[in-house]
Amino acid sequence: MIDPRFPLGRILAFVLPLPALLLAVFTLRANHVASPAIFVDPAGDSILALPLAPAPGDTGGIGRFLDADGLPVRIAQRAVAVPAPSTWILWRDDAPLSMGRLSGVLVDAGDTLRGERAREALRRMPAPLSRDEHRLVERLRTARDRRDSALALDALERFLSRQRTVVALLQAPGRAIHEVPLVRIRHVEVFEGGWADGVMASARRLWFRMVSTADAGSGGGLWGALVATALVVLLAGAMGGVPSLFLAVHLADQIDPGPAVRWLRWASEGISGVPGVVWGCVGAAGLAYFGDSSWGHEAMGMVPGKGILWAGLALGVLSAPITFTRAMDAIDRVPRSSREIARSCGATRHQVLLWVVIPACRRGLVGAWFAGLARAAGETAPLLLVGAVGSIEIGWHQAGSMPSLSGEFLHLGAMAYEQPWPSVQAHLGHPLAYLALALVAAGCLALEWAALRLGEVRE
Amino acid sequence: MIGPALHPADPGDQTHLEFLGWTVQIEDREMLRWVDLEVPRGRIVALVGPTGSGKSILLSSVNRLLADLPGARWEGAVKLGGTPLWGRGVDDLALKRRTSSLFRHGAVLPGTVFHNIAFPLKLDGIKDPRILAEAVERALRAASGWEALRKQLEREAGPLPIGLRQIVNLARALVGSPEILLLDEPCGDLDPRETEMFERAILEIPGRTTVLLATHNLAQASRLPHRVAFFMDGQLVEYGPTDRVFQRPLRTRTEDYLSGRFG
Repeated sequence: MIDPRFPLGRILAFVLPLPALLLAVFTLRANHVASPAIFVDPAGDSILALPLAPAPGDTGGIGRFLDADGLPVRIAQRAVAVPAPSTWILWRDDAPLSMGRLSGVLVDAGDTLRGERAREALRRMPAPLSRDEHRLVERLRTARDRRDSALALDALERFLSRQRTVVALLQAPGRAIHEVPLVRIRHVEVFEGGWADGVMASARRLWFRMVSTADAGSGGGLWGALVATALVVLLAGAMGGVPSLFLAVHLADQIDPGPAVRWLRWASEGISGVPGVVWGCVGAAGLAYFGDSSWGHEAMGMVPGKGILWAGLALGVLSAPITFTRAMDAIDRVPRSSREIARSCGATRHQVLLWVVIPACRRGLVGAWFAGLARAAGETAPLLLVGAVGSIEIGWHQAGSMPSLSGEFLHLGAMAYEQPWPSVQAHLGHPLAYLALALVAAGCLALEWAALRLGEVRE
Repeated sequence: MIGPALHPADPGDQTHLEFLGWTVQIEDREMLRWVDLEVPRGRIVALVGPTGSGKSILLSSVNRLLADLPGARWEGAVKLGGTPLWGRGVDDLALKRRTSSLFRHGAVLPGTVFHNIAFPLKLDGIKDPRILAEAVERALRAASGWEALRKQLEREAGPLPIGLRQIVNLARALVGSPEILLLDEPCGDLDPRETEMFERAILEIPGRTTVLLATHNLAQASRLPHRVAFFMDGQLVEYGPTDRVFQRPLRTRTEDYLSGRFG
């Protein structure tokens, strides 16, 4: 445990999550270089990510790339080469954004040609441009020079409105070319390339991935997980922390701390040592029993199955003893003589409680509550058992909407690895996993730090 | 000048507080046995004796905190101005208003100096800030702490030095104009300077207030009070005017204690 009065502790609390964050950003960058395969976007349209090496001396333009065997590749029959080099980010509704050098706009996407056929096709490049295509190139050039994202988007949209199948080709900072269906582009950003821009772009990309849970069932991203975590932790604080605070304060009201109090303290200290997985099983058992019974469904409004309410309850039970023990400690630190003074002035027991005991240990009580939150936030086992699968309808588009308490939610693995990518590309989830790690570490440390700060005795 | 001269003994003293066969048990342990004691109105009476001799229990019999002690039983009577304190159906609150207590460790209530002193009035539901401010000033002047604390009324009371905290406590004890002031070793943790300041404050308390002072400090017991009661093992051993008890004790146990042979 980190002592908050020790400055190193404060520094550590903020520094510890940093490596994971950096790892997240740089793994994401590395992904651009390494992503080797074809992957399919959720809607079924193809997004190509071919490992291609630019031919020496060539800058941009469709088809002037070599595949892994060193042979030129054309991935379209007709294409419009756009101004290069500059970095473009295409924000899309349905999937993680695409980023790279916009090397061409593909019209009438056809077969992918390889080897000799591609070489032959390239000799005929560039094909004469139509008037629309000329205008697009001009406007995109202007947009790049002015760094005007709106203009670029407008140009693409106008162009798009007159074509049937249009695909943007993006050359990533590595060697991959992404083929992005333009129907899905929502927003375009243009900026000059550079190392810092790359990192910035990676960070943006990470952020976008984090929040892109348009439909949590398919989009992935961490946004839903973040909201669900906050919600579950708050539920735990409400269902476990608040009652234990009341219990502790109520017991403080007793004249004689009899065997009941001693037993409760002993029990809560014991219970706080029980591993989280046990509470996960308790939660899962309760959910199987009540959640599936009509009684549980009708009386408690609990939907059969795994839900956030059960997760909150399991975490609440888990964190209650910690809150209780720390709250009792905080109350015990209020000097007995303060209560005697108030009693001798004629204060009733309730007045002593409300006017003397609670004001004196207010910070300690809040700290106890936060300590419970920290334990709940840091505990994963119950969530894996209770809240493993399902979805929360929270996303970029429904930012204002609240999830229902009985709704199910995704666990981290699904968020980071399964949902955004098909299984062959699970490694693309690494940055998200690292990011999640950083967030969880930072969140727990912050909560624990708050608990310790608030729990400090002021003399 | 410090000494009993400010409260000269008077043969015509009225009895203010009276213990009649007062016996207290806490969980089968006898804390006080058959105490008969009369405390004259407006006088300072010191209770001396070794630790555990029953001085504090005697005080808590007057401010009724005895009722808060788990396992406490009592017999006999304590009368305040003729009113029994421990009869059936007594008005706890009304009786507590007539006494004020001050404890040893200098603990204060959470909150500001002002809040500490005005606490009993706030309990009574008085909210008018002018009335409260007036009462606080009057009480602080009575406790000889106005000069020292007038600028610190809005500061937290907890971090003040213990001498000033006891002055704050004294002001709080005086704010309701109690009939009886119960001091349970108020100078126990004070250094000699603070003790002198505090004793001065006690001697300047208006003469109609009766003061019961439990103390370990024999020099203090010989300086301040008009009368001294010596307790041992829950029994009242000797009670009389200060000079007489200190100079010509009737019992050998009193003499042994006062001359420092034990305790």
